[in-house]
Amino acid sequence: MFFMVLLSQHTTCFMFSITAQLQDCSCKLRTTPSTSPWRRLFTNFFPHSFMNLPQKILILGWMEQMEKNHPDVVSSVMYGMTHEKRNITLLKIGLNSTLPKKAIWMDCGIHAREWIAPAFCQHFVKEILGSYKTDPKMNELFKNLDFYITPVLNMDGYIYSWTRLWRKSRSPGSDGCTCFGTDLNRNFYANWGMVGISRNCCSEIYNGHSPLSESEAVAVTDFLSANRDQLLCFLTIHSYGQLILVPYGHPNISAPNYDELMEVGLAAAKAIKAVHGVDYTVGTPPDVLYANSGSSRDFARLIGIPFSFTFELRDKGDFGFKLPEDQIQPTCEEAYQGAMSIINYVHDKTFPSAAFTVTATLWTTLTAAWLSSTTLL
Amino acid sequence: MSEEGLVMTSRDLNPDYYEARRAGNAVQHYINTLYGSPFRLYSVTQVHKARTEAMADTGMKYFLEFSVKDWVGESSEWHGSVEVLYPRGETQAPPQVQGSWGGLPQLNISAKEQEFYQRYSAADSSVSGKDIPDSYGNIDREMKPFWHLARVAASFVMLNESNENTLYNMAQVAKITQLETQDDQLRFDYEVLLHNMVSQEIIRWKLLVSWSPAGGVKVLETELLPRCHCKSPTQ
Repeated sequence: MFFMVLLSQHTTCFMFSITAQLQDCSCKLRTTPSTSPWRRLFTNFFPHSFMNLPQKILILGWMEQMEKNHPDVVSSVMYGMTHEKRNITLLKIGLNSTLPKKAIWMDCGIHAREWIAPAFCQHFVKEILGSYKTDPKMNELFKNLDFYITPVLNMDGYIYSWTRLWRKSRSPGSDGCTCFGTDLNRNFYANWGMVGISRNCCSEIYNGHSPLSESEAVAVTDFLSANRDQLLCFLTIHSYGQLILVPYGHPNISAPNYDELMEVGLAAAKAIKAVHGVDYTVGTPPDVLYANSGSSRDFARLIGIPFSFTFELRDKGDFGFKLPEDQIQPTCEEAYQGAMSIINYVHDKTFPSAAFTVTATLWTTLTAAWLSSTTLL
Repeated sequence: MSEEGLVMTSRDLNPDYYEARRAGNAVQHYINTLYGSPFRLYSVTQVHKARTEAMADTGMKYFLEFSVKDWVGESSEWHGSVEVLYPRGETQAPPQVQGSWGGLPQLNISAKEQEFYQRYSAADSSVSGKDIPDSYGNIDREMKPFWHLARVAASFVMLNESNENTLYNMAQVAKITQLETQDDQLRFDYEVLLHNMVSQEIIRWKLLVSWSPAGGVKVLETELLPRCHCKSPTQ
């Protein structure tokens, strides 16, 4: 895990990663390491949040650091704005190609208080960047696919949730309702308003004045629509509950590839359990949780992205949103295996010749070995 | 189909699906009201089998086989079976839970309880705190038994509020203030935040709680606090 060091106000320096070259930081430091992983996560994404440093001082956030450290495979793409006018940015990760590439989408933090989700996106990015040069399978993924990863989608809500258990966006209510916020995961054009929502703007599952009333939902919708032909897989990360949810949230509507989605989901749950023994349940929301509509997962499936899953990470309610720090790493490790299980399946299904090539190479090698051994005899 | 309440409709449930999960959640709260302590908290880890029967006049009954363990004491898992009856009616009434708990693991915590009791029944003891866990995800080691106690006390409310459309967990202790010991019971004023997974709402309750090793956990008063519909700025 990167250790981002939070600097005291009296330095003229900025945050840096200890694992990066120290000579990048051209200043003297008097630092107080921020030891809490949750606080580090906040400062990784929102370096200004806890400091009163003048704006002109360059702050390298975690995303910028990733781009800087891996310029050949990482670029950032700004694809929308939050209600409070913050940039919504994703990291595009993959080996460069002249031809358009197929892609995997992952977003975290659509619900503000589900902090383990952005922590997972960060972990995922770190893992794939740390292995693509040495792991042939990951290298192949980087060659054939691009990863589009949004570490914190609901940025306004995330900052607001530092001091309270906020879920929704931060847009003001309408039609005389004085409460703030819309549940972004009820605001998409996917059976909007049909089930599992509230029309009371004070409710945590208020689905918005109208579909796509929220700029964050618009940003995702526009990006998914523009890249629909490239996207193979849509993963949206939440907590808590230890679930892998498949489309759809409406009890009477089934995805055409439900059986395959369940099979892939169950394999992912098995991969998760293999890491630390933790059980994740797989199913549609009406089966395992509650009916809902207007979710990003359902929208992705509806526009034709074949593999669309919601991950609900640890735990099952003992700590809920306030997961203890010592569970962050194990949760990320197991979820990583779950996500990779799905991604590998989707990749191998789309690029079967790659698997064939491996098999052919194996046979060639075996044949050569047999031939050389018979010659010796 | 049921006729005149004579024939009961029985339906097998997938034990991983929402109906069995919600019923298991109510059972967890029930067990904690009976046996929970600052040093003992139970979690239903899994429902293995579930069946439901419509009881014509009284309500909906769930039959569960489940595993539970004391995760504070790190006990082994215990397999039990239980009946949960959600009463019919317009107003909220708690489910009635029936089971036999003889085999439930109850690790010996009397030494810890006594030490804790002695420490905090001192005349000048005035524990207080807020936001447990805090934004750093921390619970101070000293505050852990008070957090466990809050979870047990919250279980009384969560059980009372449970029905087939709820799934309650305690999200956070907003406030704790120790009050004067009375009748040899430690007493605390708690403000707890409950999370209902189904509505996703955070509900604030004020609880007056007493505890002693001999008396166990008692919730003397409860008050539902109004939601804060704050129009505060973002920061």
